[in-house]
Amino acid sequence: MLRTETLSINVGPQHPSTHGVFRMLLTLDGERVVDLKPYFGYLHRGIEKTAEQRTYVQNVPFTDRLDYICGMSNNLAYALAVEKLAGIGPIPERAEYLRVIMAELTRVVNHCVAIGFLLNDLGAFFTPVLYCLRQREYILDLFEMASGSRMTPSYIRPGGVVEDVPPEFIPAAKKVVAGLPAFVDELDQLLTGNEILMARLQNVGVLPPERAIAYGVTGPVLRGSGVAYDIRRAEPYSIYDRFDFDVITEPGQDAYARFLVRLGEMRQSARILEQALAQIPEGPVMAEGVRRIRPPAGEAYARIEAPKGELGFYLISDGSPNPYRFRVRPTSLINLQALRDMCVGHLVADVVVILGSIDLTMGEVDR
Amino acid sequence: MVGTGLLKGLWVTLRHVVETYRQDWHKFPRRYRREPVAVQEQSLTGLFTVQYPEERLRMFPRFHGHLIQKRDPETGLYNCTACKACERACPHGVISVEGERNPDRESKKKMLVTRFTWDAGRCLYCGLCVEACPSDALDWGQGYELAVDRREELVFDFERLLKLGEHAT
Ligand code: SF4
Ligand code: SF4
Repeated sequence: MLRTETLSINVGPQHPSTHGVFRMLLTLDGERVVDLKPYFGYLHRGIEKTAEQRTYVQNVPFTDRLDYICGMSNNLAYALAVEKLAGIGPIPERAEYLRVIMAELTRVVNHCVAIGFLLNDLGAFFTPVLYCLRQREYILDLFEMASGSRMTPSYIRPGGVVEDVPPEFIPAAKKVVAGLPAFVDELDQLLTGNEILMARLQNVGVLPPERAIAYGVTGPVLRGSGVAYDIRRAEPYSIYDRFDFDVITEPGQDAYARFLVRLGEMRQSARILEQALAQIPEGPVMAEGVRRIRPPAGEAYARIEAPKGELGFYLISDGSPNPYRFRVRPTSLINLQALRDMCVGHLVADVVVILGSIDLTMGEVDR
Repeated sequence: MVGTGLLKGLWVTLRHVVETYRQDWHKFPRRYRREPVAVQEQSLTGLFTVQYPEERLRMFPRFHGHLIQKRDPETGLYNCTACKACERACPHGVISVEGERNPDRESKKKMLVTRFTWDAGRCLYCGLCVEACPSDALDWGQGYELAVDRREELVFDFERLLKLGEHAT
């Protein structure tokens, strides 16, 4: 009778495939994973606590740094929470459209990065990710044109957006959006039918819908398990109820399904962007009288469908210019909970792929 | 058929390779001259990089490069009034300003800046200070080659910011 022992190894915190400083303690039986423990906190910066000493507007730059790939979406979620808390509104029409445009561009950016680096983890070294980063670069140029920064824009503020976009923005954005479907088609042609990709992704990291719901997983991971839940539809915020788009779901429940959901969502974002760019009106971009924000005592929670899933901000005010409590409902942390479930029983090489298919940003997990 | 997906993917990469060389040839003399070039054009295939430092991108007007202090173009006096609005607006305490009353009562400048520092190493580049400035003194410059050897050099004083401001306009 052959006796085997399990072996514990650390993956990370300095591992190229862990998407930031993140450590997994794997217990292996041969090459099979029998247990996985995630350890995080290496990137903890105390943003939630620091925010209690800052005014509501001063906290906007901190939200950029939560999920640093999607700065604009974080700004939007925070702005919605402050507006709810302080009763700011109505937001000018042009600002609402600019918010939607920025949020959807961010979604494309995030999915480009997610798909690109997933392929990198698979060993398709740097060809797909380079194509994805090129498309991202055009969008980051738009962000820079509007806000001055590429990744930490602080552009969407409570009450509207910080300043109107320059006149050349709308034509430039139209051009980028017009190129998007062709880009997604190319990615589709390059990757979707690829036999190696299918062999590595299909039936890997299976997450049945009931487990996904039990973990509170949201975003493309949930929709890849076949649950059609999208906050833009379920509880429309901003002006999302005006646009025509589909909620993409895939029945596969595996890493491949998540990949397909992301591809599909890029197409849908392009659709929303086309409509928004065609309809955007002229006008002011900031609501009246929001120089000093001093909300009455109370609490508010606002949530959006960020590219990675539900992102919420929970704010408590005690009537002072600083929040009494500033709490983030981080998408990545909650999606990470499902990692163990998905990995147990698979090979070590699949762990990296599963982690890539969840699409984490450690800045958001640790805050 | 097994393998068609692979071949389709290879066809995409092959197209990109050919296109890259073709476009490089089109840009041949311009690409190797030391002048800032305009923002890159959008192309779905082919080149999209620039050959830094020979080729440089022109930054957008709103680009957050570094802070500058502006002067009044007519009088040559600096605009800053040491009002400390930027210091209060900053989320990180990166700017510190000190000023005093101008002893020369006749002068147009009521307040003189005695000390103004901006610590670029701790700055969030958020722009709240520039938004807060009531006197059109603080603004963003377009420079981006800001690497220094020692950490102390990251602290910009008033003279250096004024100099950067002259350079920018
Ligand atoms: S850009 Fe932001 S962090 Fe930097 S000095 Fe200005 S207010 Fe402070
Ligand atoms: S830079 Fe502007 S805000 Fe700052 S002290 Fe000078 S005048 Fe006031």
